[in-house]
Amino acid sequence: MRIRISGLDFQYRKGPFLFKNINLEIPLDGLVVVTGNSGSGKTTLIKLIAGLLTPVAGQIKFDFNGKPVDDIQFGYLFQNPDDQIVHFNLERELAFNLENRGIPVAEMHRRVEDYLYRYDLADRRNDSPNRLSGGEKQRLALAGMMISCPGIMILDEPCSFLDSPAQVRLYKQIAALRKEGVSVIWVSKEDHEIRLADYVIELDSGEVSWSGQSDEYLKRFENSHAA
Amino acid sequence: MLPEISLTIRNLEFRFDKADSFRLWIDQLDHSFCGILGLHGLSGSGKTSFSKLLCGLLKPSAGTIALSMNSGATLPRVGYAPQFPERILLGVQIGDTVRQIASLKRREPDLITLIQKYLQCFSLDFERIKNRSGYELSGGELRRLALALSLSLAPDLLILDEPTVGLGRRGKAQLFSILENFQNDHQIIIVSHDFKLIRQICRHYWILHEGNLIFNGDDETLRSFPDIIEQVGINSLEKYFSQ
Repeated sequence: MRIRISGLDFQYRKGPFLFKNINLEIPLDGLVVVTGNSGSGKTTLIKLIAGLLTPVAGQIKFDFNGKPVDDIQFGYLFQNPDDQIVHFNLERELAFNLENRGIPVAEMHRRVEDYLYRYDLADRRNDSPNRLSGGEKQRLALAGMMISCPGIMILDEPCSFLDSPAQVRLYKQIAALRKEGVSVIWVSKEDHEIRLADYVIELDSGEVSWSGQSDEYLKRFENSHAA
Repeated sequence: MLPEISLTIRNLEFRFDKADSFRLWIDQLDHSFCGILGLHGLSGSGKTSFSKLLCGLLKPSAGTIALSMNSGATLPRVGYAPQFPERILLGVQIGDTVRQIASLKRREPDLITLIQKYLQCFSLDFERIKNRSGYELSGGELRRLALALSLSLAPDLLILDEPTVGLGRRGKAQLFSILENFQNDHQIIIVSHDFKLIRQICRHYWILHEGNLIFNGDDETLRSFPDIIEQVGINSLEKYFSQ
């Protein structure tokens, strides 16, 4: 599957244009990392891809072997877990996603139980999300996104609040999902996470400054640091 | 001049309420701050709650926690930069937040100049962002704004809760360079789940685990506690990437 972006313009309210005539093709095989300095447009780009923002002009289309695909189920993880969490306890938060998708009650209970344990949150199932630490909130938001098994996962800096063991668990989980054919778009500023990518897109002040295979990106990056 | 600050804790307990499964408990701690201190622990270990107890944003459920200036004359002024930077926003536009903070301190013109100076150190132009909503900034820009505001208030003890979340390579380098000077006149606590960061800039570490303080010492001492290093997953990322 590929994302084809053509003639994309975007501005917030009446502010300056963040993107002007962006043309980009993104292969969705494996892990795509979107990187760049803060304010370069990473979050805006993935929100446009997920349909959370609407382009001022241009198109974002998905295709498989040249044929358009329009029934994609996205999972989106916000940069700030507070933006994602809507319920008053952890069980309800996880069940919410499944209820919206009409999953039968017995299956819903089974999956909620499974994800509470997978994300090490079972002891806090009845707590209010407001009582969770930043890392626990991020685990809850991730569990809430993953539980509905989306076809394309878009994660905005998913490790920012995770401690090292939880980061390692997520890397392993993403590696397993890639084997199952799930596509992942991941925003990151961390060099070690770029090393996990198959494809890298680098943004600089609203321009695509690099788009290509990760090994080529890393070679270029290492050369520029050696120079 | 670096303020001399001491901390005394006796039988400190904190819970959000009686039914809460989380409990922070430190029976005794006497500490004289000397250089940047790193507060580390896994998610949910109590780092943010402990930080908020230190600066008085939370009250103990039992026991005492007290900061004092060694000169004895006044209490230390403690500042806290929150983990989620949007919590510093006080108005519709960024300019409103800056003005409100400046007016609270009753030295508005000086403080606004200082805020502008710190924003500049973080490559942010106050004139360019002052009329924008804080929610229009990227995560990294919002973090740099929150850091600039808390640094400009120049407290005796500044607690930075996860200060590098959302910062890229350039933002981290800018923060380290600012702290290099700031540490000469202010005590600093860096709260982070990222031990690499703590090891890089802190002289002394506190490590919390499940609400208990399990380590209080320097890097050399920590190396002789492999069980603690294992317990809080200090080397887990290195192990994963070396496989």
